[in-house]
Amino acid sequence: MKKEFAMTGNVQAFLSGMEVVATPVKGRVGMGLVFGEPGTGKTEMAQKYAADNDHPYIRATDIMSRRSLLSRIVAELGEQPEYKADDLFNQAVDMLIDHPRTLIVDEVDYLCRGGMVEVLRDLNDITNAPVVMVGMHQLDQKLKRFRHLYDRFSAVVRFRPFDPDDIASIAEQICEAKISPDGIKFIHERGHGKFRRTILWFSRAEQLAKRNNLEEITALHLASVRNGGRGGRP
Amino acid sequence: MNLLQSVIACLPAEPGRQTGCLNDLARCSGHDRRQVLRVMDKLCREGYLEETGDNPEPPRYGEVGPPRRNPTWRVVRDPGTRPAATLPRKTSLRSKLWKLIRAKRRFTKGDLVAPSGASEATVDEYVRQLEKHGHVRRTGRDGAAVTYMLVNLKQIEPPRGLFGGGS
Repeated sequence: MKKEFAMTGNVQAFLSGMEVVATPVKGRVGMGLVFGEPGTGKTEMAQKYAADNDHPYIRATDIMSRRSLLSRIVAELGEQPEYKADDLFNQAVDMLIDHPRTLIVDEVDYLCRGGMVEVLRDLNDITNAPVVMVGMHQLDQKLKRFRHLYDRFSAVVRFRPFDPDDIASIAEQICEAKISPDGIKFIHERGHGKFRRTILWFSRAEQLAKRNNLEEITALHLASVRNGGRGGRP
Repeated sequence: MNLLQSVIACLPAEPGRQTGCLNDLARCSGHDRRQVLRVMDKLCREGYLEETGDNPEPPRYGEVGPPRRNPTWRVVRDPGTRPAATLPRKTSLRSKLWKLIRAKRRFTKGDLVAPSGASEATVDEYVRQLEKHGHVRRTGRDGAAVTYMLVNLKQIEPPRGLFGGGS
């Protein structure tokens, strides 16, 4: 497998969404929402974007409280967190006013309980720093309960499962084995358009091509792997 | 121009001069009153301004609640001389790798190559040095690849001195 970051339609939508979020409208910078099916590459993309642009990346957890969320934000912004929640909030506000950076918060679903997401809205409201929320496939429904928050999303990006064309394009970019159109269709069916599963099938195709000196991998070859190498119909 | 810069641009430079009221500053900077008030509070705390008075606005027709604050300030020191707190941009390859490691916490070397854009050799050497200095440790295998785990979750800054120098 080539160690490259594949440019998929989802990745392009994410990048254009981030541009929209960072562009102020009447002086106000909005918020971004990224959600989609599991295994479609949201977290990978968010981590890459944060690392490339030196933005703080925070992964929310199930046991997180308002104080621990603020503490993580302050730590990621580069200061020693204070103890009290109020001091932490002021610390985060001061730092974001000084250096407005995009806050990327992953697994925001965990923050919907008890309205912890409102902390993020407050930070965006007061400091004008962009906030990007990343979460699971029903996150938009969950956030619609918070109408004041949902209104502030200037970009909503949905990560969709790949269609066969996407898979063919990714295969060209990162797979070292040539896969026939029926092979692509097979991978699409078996992988359900998920990035993680698609990569697994690419890796199987590469192994098959290498071991058997095959120029092109077809659906039949891939089906034999599925059956433990015993052959069989796709 | 960010929030802080656009508010500072609306303030007079000479010490002793009065600034406009909060509403004027919000209009001048093009930002929300609440955001401008936060910036002014910050500048007061840092000793650049001093609040001199408040001329609160009564609630508009149909609104409830206390009158809105509308303070004015006096310049103590020129806010334009405030040193721009420059945070060094950490876009070096090693800091990018460190950031990815912190985000993932448990990783293989292969997980870092594609998103960072670094070569396998660079990732290999960096992870080896991190392991040698006790910042990451091996936790097992994922197929053929060795998995590592970040040891100290509270370390935000990339470790220094891994390669003998200051980086």
